[in-house]
Amino acid sequence: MVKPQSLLWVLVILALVVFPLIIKAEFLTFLLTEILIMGLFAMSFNLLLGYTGLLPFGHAGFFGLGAYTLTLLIKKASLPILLSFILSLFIPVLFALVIGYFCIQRVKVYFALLSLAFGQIIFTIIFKWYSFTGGDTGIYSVPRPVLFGWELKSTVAYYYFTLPFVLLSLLLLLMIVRSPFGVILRAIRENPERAEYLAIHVKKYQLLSFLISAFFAAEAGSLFVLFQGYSVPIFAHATKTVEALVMTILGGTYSFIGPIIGAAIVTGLDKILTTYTEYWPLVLGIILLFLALYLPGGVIGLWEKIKVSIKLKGSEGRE
Amino acid sequence: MKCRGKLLIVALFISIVISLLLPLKDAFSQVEKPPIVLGGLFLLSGRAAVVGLANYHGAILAVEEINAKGGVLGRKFELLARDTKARPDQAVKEATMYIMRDKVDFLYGTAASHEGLAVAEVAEKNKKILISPEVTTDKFTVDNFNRYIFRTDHMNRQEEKSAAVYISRFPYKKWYIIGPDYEYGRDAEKAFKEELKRVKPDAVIVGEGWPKLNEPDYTPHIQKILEVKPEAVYAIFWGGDTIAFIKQAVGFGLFEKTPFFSISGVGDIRVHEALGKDMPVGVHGGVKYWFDYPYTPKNKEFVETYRKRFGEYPSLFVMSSYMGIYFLAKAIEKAGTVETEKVIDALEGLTIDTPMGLVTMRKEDHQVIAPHIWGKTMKDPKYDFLVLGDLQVLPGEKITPSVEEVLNWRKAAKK
Amino acid sequence: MEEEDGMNELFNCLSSPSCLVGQLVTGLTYAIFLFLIASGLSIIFGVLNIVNFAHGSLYMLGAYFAYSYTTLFTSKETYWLAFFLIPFGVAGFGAFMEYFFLRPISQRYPKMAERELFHILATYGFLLLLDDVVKIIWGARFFSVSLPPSLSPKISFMGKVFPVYYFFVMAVGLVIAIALWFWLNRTNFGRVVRAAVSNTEIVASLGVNVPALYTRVFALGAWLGGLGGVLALPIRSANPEMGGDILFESFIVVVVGGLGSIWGALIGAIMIGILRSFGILAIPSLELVFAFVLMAIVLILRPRGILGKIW
Repeated sequence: MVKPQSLLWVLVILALVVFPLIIKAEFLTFLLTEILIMGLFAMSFNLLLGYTGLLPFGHAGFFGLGAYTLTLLIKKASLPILLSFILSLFIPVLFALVIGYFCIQRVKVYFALLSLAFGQIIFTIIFKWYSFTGGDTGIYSVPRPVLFGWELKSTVAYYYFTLPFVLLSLLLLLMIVRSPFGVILRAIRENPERAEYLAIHVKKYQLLSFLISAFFAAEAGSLFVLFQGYSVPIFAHATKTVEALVMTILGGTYSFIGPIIGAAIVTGLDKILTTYTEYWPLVLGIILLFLALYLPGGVIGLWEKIKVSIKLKGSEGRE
Repeated sequence: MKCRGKLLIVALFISIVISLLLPLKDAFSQVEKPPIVLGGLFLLSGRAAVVGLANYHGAILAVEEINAKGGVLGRKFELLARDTKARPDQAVKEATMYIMRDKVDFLYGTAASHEGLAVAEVAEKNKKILISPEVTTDKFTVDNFNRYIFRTDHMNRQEEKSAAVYISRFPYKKWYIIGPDYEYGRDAEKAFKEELKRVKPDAVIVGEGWPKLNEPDYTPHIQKILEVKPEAVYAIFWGGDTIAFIKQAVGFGLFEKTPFFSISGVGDIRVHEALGKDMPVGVHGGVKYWFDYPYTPKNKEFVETYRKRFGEYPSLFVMSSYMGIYFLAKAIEKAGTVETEKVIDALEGLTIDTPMGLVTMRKEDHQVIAPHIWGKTMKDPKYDFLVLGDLQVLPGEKITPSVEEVLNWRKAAKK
Repeated sequence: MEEEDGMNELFNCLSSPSCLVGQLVTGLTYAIFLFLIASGLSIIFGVLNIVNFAHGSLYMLGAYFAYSYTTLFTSKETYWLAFFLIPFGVAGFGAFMEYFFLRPISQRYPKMAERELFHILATYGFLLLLDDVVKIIWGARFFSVSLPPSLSPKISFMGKVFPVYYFFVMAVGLVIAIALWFWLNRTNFGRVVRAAVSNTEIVASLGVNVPALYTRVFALGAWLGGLGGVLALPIRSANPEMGGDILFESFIVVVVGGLGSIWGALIGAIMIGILRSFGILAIPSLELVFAFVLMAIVLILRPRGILGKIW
């Protein structure tokens, strides 16, 4: 029996695939590409926050590392774009191994602060190393990928380049989260000491989770560079991590697709509201306060509550 | 408490949404022919606002004057404005949104050198003209030049050449250079060092300071200068950084001991006004425009109109932006269309009459050729801020590198 | 090449008394601003377990309030009145923040992990909000005032000239540090606060209104931040980015000195202030990296910092 939910997801994916062919609005395609990439970043963040119970304040460091590895390999080492892309997924994971090892030795607030420190170190080095990374100016005119001799110049072309990568990554994440590994992560999130008692090597799982999330964060960073054609130090700054945090909480940190929904809302609002007002941070700040006070489960959480209350009302009616 | 709290938040939210949508009502007003839309990128916040607001106001004045005369080709200019916060990625984001979402006809602005270079790429990628009234890095018209970008400001090489010529009259040999640590500061320093060596081969740089852009606290740098005891200081600060630096340095007696030369910092009327009585006398400033010069009726009229519109004297950053809009307007008229390629052809080699005098947009590097002014701060009973006096004017042709030099630099950069 | 010159400059300076003094004075003055903010952060974290991301914005509010006050009322005593009154204004705002936003979050989420997360979200929300509110009310330009006339005369000290104001700032820092220590260790209120940190339930069962205590402590933290802003205004000017700028460095100070410790915050602030002053001489490009590396090292080796309590 096919679950109605699975059918819904198939439809959504089909819609994503055909969307730009039907609706010829370049701006919307551009927006959707950005939502996909930032959604992936937020999902990687939520693997640590929602599923493992760790708050990595320096997570953007890996987004930045992915972006700069790609950019520097292309610009300085003149490697082909696709090879650089693949390397930019794995080299940051090496950094994550060292950083993650130290971070998971600490708990809660100290984990967050240590992660923040490492993230800011990455940011500051990129920012200051003018001769190698272009410093605060950043690196521009990163070329578009060339597939089978065909350069992906248009926005639509690039959308179709990004979509399979993001969908595949989401599928991988889904499999990870639903696997026994994912169940253990959640147990660790709920109560690390109890998990330890159950002979689970907590630190090993936390480190693995850290590495996986760093991988996907780096992927998001690289995809973003190829998308926008530039790389700037702020990709590694804590403010980028906060973007992921806001998207995750707004969408719903306890659901799988929450972060992507959050990414869609935040990115959409950002691009549309900034036409009317300079004060997007103000609106965002108010949204955050509202979330913290009244909507901890985010949009998905709200949706779940509504579904439950509809069901309840339904069953009440029948009695 | 819970109910009231929720109500409060909801009410707050609704009122914000309403206030954001209010500007929409203007969208429904009547327009005859569609306007020519300019996507403006300005530095509108923080210390950089001293420059950004000046760029913005200069552009507004020009747009209003042109629209009052019926616009260009019967169409009015519409100037959109967004704050780039002196961040290149923000500038690129806004520029991209301008092109995709707002479908602008031209890109106008960027002031900080690193954001200018970034938006130049966006302009080239999307085949839109970018006119920058403020980016001074040489790279804009040399290394990173592309067909679609134009500059109505001086390039660093022109400014630093003018500085070197001015400085050659003084006997100072041991120099300390201090400037903001980003694209503009480094590029200006490179040009200054080369030009200084040309006029004073025995000059020596005894120290350098590179605080970050918009550094809140210059005191360790000031201490360093006092320690090193140079014969003179060359400062590359602009806008709010100049104000902050001078304010902090006055307290340590820096200006009593050391001659101070400031490019595009001292000489900015906003800096003079902000410092007021705290501004030291006898410091040197080099600018592209000082409101009291030239003594022509056209300039006087410009200053008066600007004062009436904005309640203040026009600073150097106003003029380059005012000029920029006029260049665009005249070029569109000459081309007879807003089509990008034709307007580019019209802009190349165009000479227009500005309050500063005649200014030409050179064809080969899309760079204006305009004079540069140096002077010293002194008291003037007419004003309650210090003025720039003892003016030395260096004509554009004397300070501009030749076309040959520029082409050679470009070749060297490509290697 | 630049780095070699830098190390030379550093050694030259260390061997020259006047240079040493010059950099020490500037380093210590900067340290006091850091201390005022960091001590507030530290106390709020120590007692309420909240990482207050909006703390830099409270510092910013102090500077802006002081600016408005000094431009509205100009008399010889203006600066001194601002100095004494404005921090209380900021404290009031802090109390507002805590009572209407942070306290409900504490009450709504019994699980500590969730509470911490949503506190962070809320305080970050305030950071965003305040940064824009400041732009809306005061405009996006930056504002500066002159040194107060009574404190601008210059003192000659070891061959260098300093305005009295810098020494004034250092004196204020010292007085506050002593006052805080006294408050925490010798007053009743301080004792209750310390007890509440050790064991909240017992203190509550003894009839102490713990939530009200928390609000007052948060207000105290805000008071300190606001004072920092008032002191900083004549030297560093008020601009919308000032909150964010100083926040990260304050985090470093708090971690290095120890979360929850006041003397730790002072020591950490002095370390970072001096590191910065001399770092600018030695390796100007990397002084910021060093600060974060120090933070990482402390967190790896001794997370409770130099003087922090054991968590």
